[in-house]
Amino acid sequence: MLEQTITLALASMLQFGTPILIAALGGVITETSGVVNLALEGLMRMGGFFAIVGAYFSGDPWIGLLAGIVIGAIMGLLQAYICVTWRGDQIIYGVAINIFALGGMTYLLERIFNTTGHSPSVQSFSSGIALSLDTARWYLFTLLLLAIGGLIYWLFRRMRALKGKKPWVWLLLVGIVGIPSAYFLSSIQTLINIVWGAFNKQTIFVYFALVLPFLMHFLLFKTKWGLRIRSVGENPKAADTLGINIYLIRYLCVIAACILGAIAGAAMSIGQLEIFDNHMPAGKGFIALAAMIFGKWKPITTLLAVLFFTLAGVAGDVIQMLSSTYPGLQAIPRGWLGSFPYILTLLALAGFAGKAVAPAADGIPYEKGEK
Amino acid sequence: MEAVCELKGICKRFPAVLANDHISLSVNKQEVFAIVGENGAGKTTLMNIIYGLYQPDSGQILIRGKEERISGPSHAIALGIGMVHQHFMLIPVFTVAENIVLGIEPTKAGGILDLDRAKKEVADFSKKYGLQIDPDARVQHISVGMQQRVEIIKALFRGAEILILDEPTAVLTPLETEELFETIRALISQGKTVIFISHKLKEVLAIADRIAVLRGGKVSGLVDAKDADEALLARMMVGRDVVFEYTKTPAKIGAIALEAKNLVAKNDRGLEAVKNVSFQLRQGEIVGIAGVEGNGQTELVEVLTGMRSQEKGEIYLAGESFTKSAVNALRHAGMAHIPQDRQRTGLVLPFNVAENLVLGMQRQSPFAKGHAQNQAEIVSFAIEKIQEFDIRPQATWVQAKSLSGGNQQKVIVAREIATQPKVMIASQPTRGLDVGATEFVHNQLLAERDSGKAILLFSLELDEIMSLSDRIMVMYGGEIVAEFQGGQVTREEIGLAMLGWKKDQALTEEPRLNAQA
Amino acid sequence: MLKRKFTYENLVDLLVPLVCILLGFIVGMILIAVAGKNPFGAYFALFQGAFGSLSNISESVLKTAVLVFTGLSVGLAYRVGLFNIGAEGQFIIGAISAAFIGHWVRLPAFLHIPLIFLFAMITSGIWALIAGWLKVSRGVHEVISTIMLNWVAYYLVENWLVVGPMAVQGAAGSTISEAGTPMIYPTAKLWRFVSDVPDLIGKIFVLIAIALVVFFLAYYALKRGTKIKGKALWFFSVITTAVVSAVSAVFVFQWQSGIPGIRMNIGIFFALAAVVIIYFLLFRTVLGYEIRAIGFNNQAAKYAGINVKRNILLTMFLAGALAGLGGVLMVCGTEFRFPGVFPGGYGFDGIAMALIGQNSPFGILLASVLFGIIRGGSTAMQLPPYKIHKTFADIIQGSVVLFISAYFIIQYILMLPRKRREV
Repeated sequence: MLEQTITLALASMLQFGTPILIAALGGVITETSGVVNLALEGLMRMGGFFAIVGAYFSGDPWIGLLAGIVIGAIMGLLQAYICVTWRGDQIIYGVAINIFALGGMTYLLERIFNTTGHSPSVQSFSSGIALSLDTARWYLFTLLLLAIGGLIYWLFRRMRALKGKKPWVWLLLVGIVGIPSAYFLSSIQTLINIVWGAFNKQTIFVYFALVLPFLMHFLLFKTKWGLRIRSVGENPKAADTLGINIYLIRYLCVIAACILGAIAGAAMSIGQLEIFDNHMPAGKGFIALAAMIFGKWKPITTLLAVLFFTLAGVAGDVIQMLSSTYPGLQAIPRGWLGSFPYILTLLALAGFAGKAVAPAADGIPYEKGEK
Repeated sequence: MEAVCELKGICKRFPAVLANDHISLSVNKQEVFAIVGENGAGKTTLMNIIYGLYQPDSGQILIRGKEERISGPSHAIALGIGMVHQHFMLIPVFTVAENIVLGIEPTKAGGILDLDRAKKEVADFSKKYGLQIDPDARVQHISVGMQQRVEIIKALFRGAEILILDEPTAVLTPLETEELFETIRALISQGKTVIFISHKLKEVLAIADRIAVLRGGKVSGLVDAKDADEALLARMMVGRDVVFEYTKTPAKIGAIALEAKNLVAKNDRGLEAVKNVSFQLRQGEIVGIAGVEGNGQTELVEVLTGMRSQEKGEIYLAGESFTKSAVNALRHAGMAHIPQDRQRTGLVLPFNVAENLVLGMQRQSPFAKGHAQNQAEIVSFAIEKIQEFDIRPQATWVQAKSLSGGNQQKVIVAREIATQPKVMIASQPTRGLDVGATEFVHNQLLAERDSGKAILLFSLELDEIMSLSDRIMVMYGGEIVAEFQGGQVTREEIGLAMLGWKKDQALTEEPRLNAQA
Repeated sequence: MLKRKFTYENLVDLLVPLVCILLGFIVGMILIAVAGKNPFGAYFALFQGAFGSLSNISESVLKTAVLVFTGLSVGLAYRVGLFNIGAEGQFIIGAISAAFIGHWVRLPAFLHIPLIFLFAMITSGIWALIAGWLKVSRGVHEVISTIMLNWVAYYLVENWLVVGPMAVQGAAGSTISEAGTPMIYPTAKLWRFVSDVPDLIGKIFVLIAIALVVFFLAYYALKRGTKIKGKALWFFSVITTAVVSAVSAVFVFQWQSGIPGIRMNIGIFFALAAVVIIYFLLFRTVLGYEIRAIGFNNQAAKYAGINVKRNILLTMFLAGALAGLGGVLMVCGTEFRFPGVFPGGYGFDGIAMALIGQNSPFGILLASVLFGIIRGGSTAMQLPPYKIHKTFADIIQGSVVLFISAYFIIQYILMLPRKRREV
């Protein structure tokens, strides 16, 4: 029973969290470069819809995904043109796109599919990637290794005594402690079953979302482009005096964010389901923004923040499942469960937000030659 | 003599002003070429043109004899021009090494940052020029003098041959200034050229080979430093003889108006910025508080005016305790405040002049009747003050943001004097003003003093402090480290006190509070 | 002193929102044309749908009244520097509060309706206050917190209260269209002044209201327009009031039958009053001065001794109360209960109203009139031959806001003629 519950919880966390995480990472990259993107909600809606349209007419979900990406890129160009080139109000722009997406997608839904409810089913990714128990074991091993490695790294940061040591000390510790214990733990059948249950038939979006934080961390903190993106978000004028093209960097980051927003939408429509539902994405874009703030505008902490939020999101599913065994749980009204993730977000922000520091130039348009 | 940088007939117009009006200058290799002029004379605009941040409307720039259209900073860098801006162009959360290599980062394959190599290169470079820095330190944690060094290395690291220093001494102590001059001389001896922009005549005379004077966007004089003196430069700057010596009547000292006892306060980053400050301010005197920027003056002003809560200590206004009082209570009890940043603190820029003239008095009679505002009274009050203080344009309905800096300051001064205060706290009241406006503000302060008000004057300009104050206190590291009688003290004595009186300690570069300017 | 002049720049500032609206309509036309329909015909149908009959006008007025409240809510919060995206949630809270007092409390009308207003203002004000408090004391950005509060309100009210503790019992709630909270008592309903004829007490109230309005209008008109002062001013005002009231009394007491089915109600007068009150609050009171000072420059407000935190909280409370009143109009004026399928979205529309109206109360009123017309008329566009879904109004609204966010582009283009002349 417990095993089933955990498996179900993990599987729905992955499903529920994937679009949020992708969108939140879009938020991370655009805000790191100093542009606020409040339109993620609308972008998810557009991306989700156009992915369905693409898949519907081509019969190929990949074309659907491509369609989503294209609409994301177009919207990114529009945002960059208005908010970067013309220094438009970034918050007003975001609100506008959200309203526009609300009406626009309903309009198109009616034009194309003659309905205002949901689109017909299309070829999608929702059947997912089947997993063998053997592969599941390797997943488990990798996850455990990551967790142990992360834990050791965190302890390193905590203990100032080890400050200044080269990464090989850490690698050595991971090698000595991490690999054997991960190998040992990954032979426990229950754990394998849980991982198998959670990952079996998950879509490519889930894998994309799980790899993306690490890729983005690498980009932002290990490459020269990352250094430049961060400099533009912190002090664009300083970057400008060093000949860094602020407009180019902000354009690219804004477009990347909008594409990620659209992919997040596609992850809902052609990922989890095979339809576009007119209620999509039901505030997930805004939860993504909250997760980004909670994750201090950094990719890997954002991943952790999203995990935290999705826990609350799947609480409903889990309680529903448990209520067959514990009838007392049925008394909890659906509305309470539904509002739970949002209340949790509020509480998390209330307990936390004051400490988070956004990029210094976040939300401030840059004007060349300003005195 | 080889001219490395020549300007011919440079013109630049901004919507309101002609900032540069046919400026022609020629800078020789291996010299320190100073450009002086008062605020608004067009110095910074000219330098931004050379650095490619602005494009001139007309005129030519010749670098090493070749005409160039400098399209942007990267072009200027490629031409060997480096600039250290008045407000440092650094990224506080980055390390020194990251700041220096930004834009020309050493990388491994695939664009991966090679920070180790960056650190090594930066360290080598700082050794080469004898400029000590720690590549691993975060810029937000190092002192202002250190940050300036990072800026200079940043320029040199990009192969700068011509180094433009824009008001480089504004944020330095006299001793740090001396160190900077050493650095400049060392750079000249290594074949570099330095363009030194300042409005501090003494420093210019000390370091420059030749001096160009700008006035109202035009070159009003070009002299060899050895042939010039302060009076001559001042005359060229202002166009008339400038008397910075005010004729002061002897102070008629009265009762204690403001007393601070053992004040302790933290800055925005939670560090102790005001440490155990105590003083007394009496009616009819001006007490000047000197010190280099970031030594706790801002925080002290904010604590005294109620804008910042203190950790410890007491404040008495006319004998009554106002410890931890709200701004409102202090204002009611007769505290006026001319803030250091008129645009960010002193005015609501989108409000019109009339609305700004009652800011802080909005709940007082006759401007308010209960909860309702009395527009007629507000406007007639504004008309009165506009005429009395000659605020231009003469209109009550103009938004404060469209006023010039001097007129904005007049609005604030007019308003604060109109509150008929017991105590006036003036924080850098003439920052960024031209000579005329500065004289006006100074005369207003002196008149207030003569009418028996107590004035506490915070300023970074030593000359201002020395010419106005009856007593002078010096702040360093959050403490008041010295007190002098006005008129009986030399610049050098104050300068030493500004270093905390401990010469050796100043050299070790103890991080100064609020290092971020 | 210099005289104030109306410059080209002032004109451009006025024109920008109008141009944005125009561009929004053009986007709408393009979309209709793309759908293969005649855009002019569709717009004609839209305006016919809004003005074609008394009942159509009434529907537009209904929507305008609600939009004014949510628009003022967003606009007022904007003045103090907060972007209140939470008008939607506050609207829902106001509506459910009205449904609660409307059904579970029995009072005569002249007490019942004020009680509903008061209660709904307090509950929705407190709901907004949560976001204000999070902003002031915890530094949580209000955009995120108000959006989260919207969802919390949505789930708690529509997925719990309305289907659970407050659901209508028995056969009445068996179908979707009948689901929701029970009907409110007639004493809680806002008077539909075209279709419903009031009883004797109601008629007396109407007369008193007319007398009051006439008195104030006469007083101000005489004070501003003539040189009459002091006792004479009062005298003439009272005379005018007496004459007008007497004449209207004849009509009011003879009033026997109304036109049935016209849902327009006195909510629109409350909305107009709210516009005037908020205008006075912002531009004629010390509190308004302080609110605007905070919104423009927080630091300067602090410097001036203004209690920034208290004023932000107070403004947020008022903003919430305004949005909540929108919900009250919905329940007490149109639906008479909190329906199972709630006609939401007015809160979000409020954002657009505030942005298009440039946060000025009268600007918001004009924007609300315009979009009230579009909303009212878009129902007609849904019918054949155009069959354009009513979310079409969202598209126009979204594009107008989009153009507003591109303010500088439009300003630049409008300034072009002036620039050329200068060169």
